[in-house]
Parts: sequence; structure tokens; C-alpha cells
Amino acid sequence: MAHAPAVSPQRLHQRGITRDEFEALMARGAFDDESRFELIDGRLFAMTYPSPEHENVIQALTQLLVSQIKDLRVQLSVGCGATSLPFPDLALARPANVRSRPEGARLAIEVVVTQWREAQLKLPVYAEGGVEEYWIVHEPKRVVFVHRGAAGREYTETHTLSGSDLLTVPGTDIAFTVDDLFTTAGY
Amino acid sequence: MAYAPPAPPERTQQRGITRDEFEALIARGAFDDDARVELIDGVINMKPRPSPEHSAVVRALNRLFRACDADVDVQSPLEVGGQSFPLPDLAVVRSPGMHAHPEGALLVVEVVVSRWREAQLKVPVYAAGGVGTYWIVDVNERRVLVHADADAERREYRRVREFRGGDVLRVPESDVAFSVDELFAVAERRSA
Repeated sequence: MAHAPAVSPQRLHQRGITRDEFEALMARGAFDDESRFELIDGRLFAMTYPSPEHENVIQALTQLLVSQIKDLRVQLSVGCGATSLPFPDLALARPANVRSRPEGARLAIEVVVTQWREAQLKLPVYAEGGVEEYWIVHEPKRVVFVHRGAAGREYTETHTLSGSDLLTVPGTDIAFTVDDLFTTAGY
Repeated sequence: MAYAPPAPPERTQQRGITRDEFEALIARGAFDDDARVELIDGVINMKPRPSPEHSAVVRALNRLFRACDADVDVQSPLEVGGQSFPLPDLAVVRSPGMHAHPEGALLVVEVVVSRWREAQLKVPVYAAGGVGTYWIVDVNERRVLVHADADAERREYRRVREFRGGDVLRVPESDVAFSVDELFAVAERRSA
């Protein structure tokens, strides 16, 4: 008999839709060009236009991650299980072929200026979806929350980095401080 | 060989989903914030959070419509055709009772501050969907575009007129009438 995957209790998706259903809706042109959605645990969240701060932090991260350009995805999808299709601000990931989206990622980064709730809702989704490391760059506080060691729908390690604390890009020898990041962004 | 211009697109379901499918998505809890999603000609659209100006004009219209004998819905779902389920800013409707949304309306009003596109996309939807009169209130230009005499077949209104200043707006099938100036004066007023 086929192995039935365990469903963890905090999973929300008794409600909502699957990623296949979301993709089918997209393919049929069900979404307005000005209303972009991402699927988090079966629920569609409207994506907002980035603020200048949000964009400029993304630009700085892009610059710092440029040596990883072949894997670098900026606001593109990363498949995370059957009921989530988030569009992280940045990810290091690679699809299996031209007709597929990447499944999981070496690193996913969300920049938070105001939308703290969505970044938090993605924690269990990324942990379960094969995102090895998840950074939340909190612009107002000038800190970066680094999550790693995924186990089920949780990360076992969380570090709060600021100032001269070093961010190391997983699977590379690239490292920069939190200060470097915000200085690069123009702060 | 002579150049043949492409045929105009058929208006039937070339894109998007039906209202039934949209309602099923909502019933399944597919949207984080379903109070603001609407379906326009098969396409899902997220209504932006209203600005203060937008809310003030909706509030003023709601006050001016109070004298009207009909029922006035504010940002409530309206059934118009099989592929649309908009949330108009205001709709003067005949209530269908407790267990259904109104189908069509005597009058629909959309208030536009910056996003013209949705209001324009709704013109054919309302014309075909049993909305007798459609007002687009253009807040920045202090004017109201009145669409009347719907041609459901052609999905358009036969009469479109711009109202400004002292031009008097009349709510269909009621005695309620007020000028464009009056509308914006009420919107500007602060409560005592």
C-alpha cells in the first residue's frame, strides 16, 4: 500500500486549494494582471507593489548575491509542496527543466517593510517545502532573522543577526554583514 | 493576397472562469482576504484598500441615497451575468431577500480616485448584466460619467454623458436628485 504522508496538526489546508488548481487557474487567465497572488498553505494572498525601501533592499541583495547569478531568482516562484506556490523576494534555486518550477531552494529571502504576517506564514511552508535556509530581512529593525535546520514544518535554528553579524550564503563562501547589506542598499 | 484584418474576439468565455467556479473558490476559503476580491468577465481582481477620498465620496453618496425608497448596498456582491461577481461601491437594488445576492441593479456607482481601469472594464459587464444606469464618479476631476440606456446584446450603454458642477444627477425610479457640486460638498464636510 502506498505510504500516506503524515499531516501535521498545524496545517491549514483542509481549507483552500492545491497548487495544481492554482496553476490551472493561472493558465486559464483567471487573474488580473494587476492582481498577483501567491499560494500559501492553500490560500491565495494578494501581492502588493513593493515600496522603495523594499525594492532597494532587494537590489542590494541582488548585488551581493551576483556571483550566484545562475541560481538567483528575484520575485519568481518556488514550489513548496502540493498546496503552496510562494514568490519569495529572492531565492537560490534551479528548476529541473524549462517546463517546471524549482522545488524548494537553497535559500529563500523575504524583505519585510510592513508585511510581517505573510513572512511569518511562510515559515512552516518553506521548512516543509525544502527551503534549506530562510532569511527574513526586517527593514524597520535593520535585522535579519536566519532560519535553518528544517524539520517538518519548523526550523530548528533561528538566529537574529544585526550590525556586524555575518550572513553566510549557504553552499558558498559568500559572506557579508547586516551592516554591509543596509549600506549597500543606501542606508 | 489581400490582407484580412483579424476578426474581433468572440465575447464568450475566451478567458478566465465562471461565477460558479469563483463562488466555489470562495466557499473553499481559497482567498486570504475574500472581502475584496471580485470577478470581472472571468478575471479575478483584488480591489485596493479604499483611500480616504474614496471612502468620503462613498459615504456622501450613501447619505444622499438615504431619501431613496429602494435598497442601497455598499461594497456588496452583485450578480451580473455568468462570469462576473463585482463588489460595486454602491448599488441601488431590489432586495432578493435573505438567501441570494441581487441580480442586476437600478443603479451602480463606482468611485474612481486613481484606478480607472476596473471601472472601465465594468462598463460592458454592467450593461450586459442588468444594471440600468452606471455612474463613474471621477473624484480628481470632480465629475460623474453617467451611462444609461443599456444595450445588453451589444454590452454597452447607448447614452454616456458627463455631469459637472450644477448638473443634476437623478437616481432612477426615485425622487432623489442632487448636483455634482452638492455631492462633493457633502463629501468634503466634516461631522460637527
